[in-house]
Amino acid sequence: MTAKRTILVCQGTGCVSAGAPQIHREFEREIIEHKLTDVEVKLTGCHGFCQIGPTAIVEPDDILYCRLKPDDVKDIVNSHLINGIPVSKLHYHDPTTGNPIPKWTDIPFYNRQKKMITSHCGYINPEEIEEYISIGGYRAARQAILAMTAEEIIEEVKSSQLRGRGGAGFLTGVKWDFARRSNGGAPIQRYVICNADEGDPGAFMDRVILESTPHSIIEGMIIGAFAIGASKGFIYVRAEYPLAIHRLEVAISQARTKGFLGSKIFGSDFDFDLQINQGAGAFVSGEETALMASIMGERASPRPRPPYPASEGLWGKPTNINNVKTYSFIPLIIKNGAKWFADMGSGPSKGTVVFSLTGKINNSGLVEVPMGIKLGEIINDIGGGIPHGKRFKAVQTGGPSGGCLPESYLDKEVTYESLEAAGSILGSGGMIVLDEDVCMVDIAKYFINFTQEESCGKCSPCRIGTEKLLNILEKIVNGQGEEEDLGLLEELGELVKNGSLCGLGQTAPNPVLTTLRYFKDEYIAHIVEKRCPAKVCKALIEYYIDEDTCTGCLLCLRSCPTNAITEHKRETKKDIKGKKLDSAASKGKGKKKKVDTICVINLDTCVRCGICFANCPTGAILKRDRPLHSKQYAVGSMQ
Amino acid sequence: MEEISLTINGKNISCAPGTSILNAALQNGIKIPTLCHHPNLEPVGACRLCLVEDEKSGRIMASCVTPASPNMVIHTDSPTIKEHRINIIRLMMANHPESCIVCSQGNRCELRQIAAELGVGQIGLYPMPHYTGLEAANPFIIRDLSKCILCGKCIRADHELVVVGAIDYTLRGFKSRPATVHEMPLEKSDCTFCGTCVSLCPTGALSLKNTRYVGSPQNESSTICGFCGVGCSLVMGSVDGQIVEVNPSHKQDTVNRSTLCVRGHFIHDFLSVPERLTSPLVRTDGDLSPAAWDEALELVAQRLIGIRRKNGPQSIAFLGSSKCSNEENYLFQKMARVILGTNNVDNGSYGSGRTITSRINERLDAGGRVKPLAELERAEMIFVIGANPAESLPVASYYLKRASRMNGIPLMVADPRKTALVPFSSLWLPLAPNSDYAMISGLAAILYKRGSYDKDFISQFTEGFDRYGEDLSSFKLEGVSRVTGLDGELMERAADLIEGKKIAFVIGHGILQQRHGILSMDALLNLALMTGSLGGEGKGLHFLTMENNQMGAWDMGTAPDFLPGRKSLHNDLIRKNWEQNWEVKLSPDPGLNTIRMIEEAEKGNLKALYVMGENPLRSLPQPERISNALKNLEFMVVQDILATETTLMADVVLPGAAFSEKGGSFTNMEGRIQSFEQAVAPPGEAKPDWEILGLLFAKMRYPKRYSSLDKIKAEISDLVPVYSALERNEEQTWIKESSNSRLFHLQGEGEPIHFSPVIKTEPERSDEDYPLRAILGSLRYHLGSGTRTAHSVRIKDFALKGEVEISLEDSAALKLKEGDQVRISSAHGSISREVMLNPDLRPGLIFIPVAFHNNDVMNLIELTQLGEANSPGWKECRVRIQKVEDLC
Repeated sequence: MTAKRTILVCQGTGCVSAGAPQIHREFEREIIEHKLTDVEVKLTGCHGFCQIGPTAIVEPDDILYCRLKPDDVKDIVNSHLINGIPVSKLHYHDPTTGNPIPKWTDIPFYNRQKKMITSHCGYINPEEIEEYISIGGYRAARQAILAMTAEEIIEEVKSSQLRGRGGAGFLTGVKWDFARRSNGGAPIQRYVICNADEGDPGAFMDRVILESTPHSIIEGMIIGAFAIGASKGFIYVRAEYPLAIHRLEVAISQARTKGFLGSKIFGSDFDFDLQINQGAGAFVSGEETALMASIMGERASPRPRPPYPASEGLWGKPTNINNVKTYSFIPLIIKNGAKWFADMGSGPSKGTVVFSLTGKINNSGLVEVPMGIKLGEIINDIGGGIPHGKRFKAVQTGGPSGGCLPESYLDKEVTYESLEAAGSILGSGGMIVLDEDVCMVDIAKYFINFTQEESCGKCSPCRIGTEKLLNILEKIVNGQGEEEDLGLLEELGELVKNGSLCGLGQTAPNPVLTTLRYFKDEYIAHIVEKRCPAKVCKALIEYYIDEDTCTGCLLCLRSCPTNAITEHKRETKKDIKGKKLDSAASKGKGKKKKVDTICVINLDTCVRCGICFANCPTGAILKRDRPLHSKQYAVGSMQ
Repeated sequence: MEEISLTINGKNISCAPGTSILNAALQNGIKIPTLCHHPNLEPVGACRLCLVEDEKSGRIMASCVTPASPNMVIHTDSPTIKEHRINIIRLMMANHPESCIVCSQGNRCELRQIAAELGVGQIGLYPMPHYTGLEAANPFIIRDLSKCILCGKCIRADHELVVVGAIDYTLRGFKSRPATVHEMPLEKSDCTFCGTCVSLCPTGALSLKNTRYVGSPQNESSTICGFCGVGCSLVMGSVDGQIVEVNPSHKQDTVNRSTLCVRGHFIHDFLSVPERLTSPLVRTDGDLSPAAWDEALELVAQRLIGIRRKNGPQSIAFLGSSKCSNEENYLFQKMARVILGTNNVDNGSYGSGRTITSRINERLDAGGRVKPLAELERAEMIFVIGANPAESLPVASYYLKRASRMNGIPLMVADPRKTALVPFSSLWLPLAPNSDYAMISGLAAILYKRGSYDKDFISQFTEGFDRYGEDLSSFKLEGVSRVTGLDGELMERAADLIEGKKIAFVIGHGILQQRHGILSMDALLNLALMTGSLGGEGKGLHFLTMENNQMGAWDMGTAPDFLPGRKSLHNDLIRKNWEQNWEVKLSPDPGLNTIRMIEEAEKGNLKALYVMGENPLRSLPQPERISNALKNLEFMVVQDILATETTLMADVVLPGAAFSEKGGSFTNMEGRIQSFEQAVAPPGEAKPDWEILGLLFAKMRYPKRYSSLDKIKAEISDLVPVYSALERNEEQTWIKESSNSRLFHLQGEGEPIHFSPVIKTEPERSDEDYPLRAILGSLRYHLGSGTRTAHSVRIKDFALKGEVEISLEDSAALKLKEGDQVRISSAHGSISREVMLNPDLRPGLIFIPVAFHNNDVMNLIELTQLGEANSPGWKECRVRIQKVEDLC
């Protein structure tokens, strides 16, 4: 037995849903059973690598165990904790080499990151304020309130050049200054709001921070409120984040008990308190004016700006709204100074940026990287590249209204400016990697469908324009596209972008416009050749069974919803890659397969649902372009 | 503040800071198309047609919601902007059903107009209509939301102008649309059918359900609504001489600001009913039969002159109308006084508590009469007493609701019932009926005890405060609680709300028709004086007048004790002045008011009655008694637009013209004189009432000829200083106040206003036989006694039953359930009604709406003077309720 050890069991939403609470209980039980008095089991927030959860880290050895099952705990305790031999089968294995990497600090996913606001995520218990205090928490707030003037704080934030991490990238210090000075700086009611209504599909940056270090947000808000002169704050969290809400509630009540919230904070004359508002379930609630409407009990519908919230916000009073990540940076900037922050990054984009890396990528999870890092570094080095040896096709940044950037952008820097120039946005930090199996027309359709459904419906370009864009894309993926549609997509896309009332509409056409810009050949293939190069669009493909690989297991036949698959006698009994496949196929069934049988898909009744494709154990079901004549039939039926 | 200068389309312009680019452009004659903008609504930036481009920043922005900023270089028609605009229209049209041919909006459709202006003929997009089904069950509004372009005007009008909240957006994205709560039909929602949304809808998504005609009107004319005292500006659309459509005027300085109520918008269909009188009728051999105008008028002139000769001038009376114009009322009373030598002249506004307003008029010497409703939105606090304008004068209620909801002005409501204003109020005083005087004096006593009264105002403008203060200091607040049922704490809270503020009082029929109306008004005026709430903007007394020209009829002297200009007949100087004006000797004898006319007819002293535009058989209490009294007359002329209960008893019936069929002017509750022109011709041989009176003047050999409206207007403006602005032929002007009270005197000269003594009264005794107190009041679907509104086809289709409203407690005690048929009896008569349970009603009270079932509710109350000591009033009576089954 060696020195005192701590086991950090991740309790982020990803790990919890993968069974982390049971892992935690197993550790507790085992440790009591083995009377390991020098081992502490600690609950933590998420450290970002959700794909490999549930995880546990044994400190101080830095050993990371991943994809844990309850039975694995026994092994870890016996081997590692008692005998000091780490359990190598539970280590993280490099997806390309297959080699185990025992220490988390050696895993590229971690060591290529530059963790600032997420540096304590996964290492402290989010439900214990003392742990946050022990890592220096609330010192920045104390310093700001007791030793700085509001103007000094604003000046510090200004010179850090911190920009809003919610997407628009407005300079935070300038925004604070507006809110402080609006109404002639009169001593009237002012508010601060934290926008934690993270609604982008596949994005979970804010959730991880809320769940892992809720106090950093509260501290940032206290400093912001003091700087602009607000006495009341709201955290608007989407209702779909119950764990985040619970942890915020715990954190707020602990902060109140400590006297960090409430009246006369840190013994000063400054009063400030926080309230949690649960989101109304609409994506557009994340738009700042819609969010304020929602807090005021109205329909979450954006309104035109000006007036900006800084002059007329909640109940007509000056209000400052920042994103979760923006507030999290504040204590660090106060603590380390503006220069420390401004020294990181590239050009006018300073500091670090947090992405949730998802899609067709080996290491999906939360990553924090310096501004100006190359896209390719995030995807290939931190993300570990594309799984199954597939080719990279595009990366979609900035949530559903971001753009899709092709391979040529992988060596480009990631900043607010560069992404915007490329037709995309940094957004709040969603990053979805797409591989060669993805049809870009289909992906544009997917995103525009999302924004259409989530549009508030108030302004006509967004309400009708996105629907029309969707209609046209549907037409194209159905093989009914016409060449004029490309011009129309562009024309309407520009209208929606330039003419819409709020950020949702103004960015909604990005996926369409960028795919048109970078993947026009795919559109043309759909429209002119009536062909889907990625073989995704159902109307343009058909399934067939490769005689050579089919083992006649009949799984496809049984799962076909339209009985389009029939069983036939093999005319010439071939020596197919027989034995192995045969035994593999019959393993589950426990009975010998008839290798003299093959399956055939009847194209007239096949609806191309893809169930057979997904179920085939041997990969015998393949896709090919649908012959042109049958597609023309489909066009004819449309008239 | 300094003006902002910018360039729009190469033109240098300047505008006030905060002006939107759109308004700056419009002010300079640069038109920018828009579908969602309306000057009376908050800009919303929904349609985006008003996109413009700033050359400097390259920004494209919606001009309706972007403030002009210095040095902008705006292009409203650049190629990019045009392309975007055309694409928006293409999208809207692709989203629009192809039903233009049968759409009643026709060429008035703004979407169609803008499409035409932009040259969008072929849209070149696959149609993407959004069928929603048609809602047309109610008789007022058809909703076809497939035509909705979501400009949000209906929703904003509902929230910002009429403040009802019946509709809001529902769903998201392409599916979003305006809807009621749970998408219930309009008639099951909070909708009041004011129709403001219909008149603002740019497309045919909301349209008027028309009973006779589908399509666009051939002509549109501006006029003034003929129903209540608000005097809304209307645009009436006609086809072939028939009014087919009514909309609010969209002019900027109207009282109604693009709104209307259900009556103004939808109930003018009564104008075209078959019951309209189309030719003079003369009773021959007991039956009324058509006659020529000359014959009928000759008969009227002869009989009136003959009866005067035989029985003297006091045997003839004139009952005029608060619905007729100023010009007509002037001629009417002049005929009575000058030709027939009698002061027996009154008008229908007697029943609206004229005696009580008259009292205030005396105490203030007619000062403080100009009271624009718009001042309510700038008041410090508003006190609504005995008024339910959401039902009686809906457009006035919009002002109150806006004041409270938008401007946060404290609103206090004193009413036995929880009216529709209560949810908007800071405090509701649910007092016992007839106890207002005690409540008001109680508030004054509390303020006096707190020392909180306007000492400067009191010393400068009033007299008798010391005595009043003494009264107040001995006033027992326990007594107030006993009489009003309001506990001390509530009274203190009410005083808190008033303290230190100037009050704008809104007074309705709950005071004007009640038993202690005079006491209440006296107490209220004392409170107003004490708090300095008179004489200036945002304070003073707003009287809700039930009928459109109540103020004008009175101003014109259609009252027994007033000469034109509201000057007392009994003042010798004034009478002499009018004798000179009219070159005639005027009778100094007091005239009969409406009630005295009936009483004198009962006694046989009154021989002839000339009724113009009134239906006393329906509007006065105890119809049977009225009928018997009228039978005693030797001769009765009735001039009206509809065949009524009263015309059936007449000896001569003269067919008049409705306001839409003639010109003239009305004076509304604010003191605004509004002139109007003829929209359509009167039906058949009917004539404008002023013309009929003019012809009669001639028949009775009066030397002056009243052959045109202008002549009458000129005489009024010459002789009546209050109306000196009338002649200027403007659409609207205001009365000119001339008061000898120094408060209202420009130079601060004149008389002080006197405090009146505080009266103490005991709680009313209950009556075992009639244990419930019935409150009689209006519903918004009828006006007054309902003579006109009950003829509306839409109202008939709406099939309202006029149920009696009963509290849950009383209904339980009486074992009544919703829909039961009951008999309601008072000491004077009884009526039958269906029961409606009203959880907001306090036990012991019931509510019976007036005007339903031929206004038979008048059988329950007694024909007595209003505003006299011991008069029971017309607002409330003691009743008992029995289930009809139990009676059988």
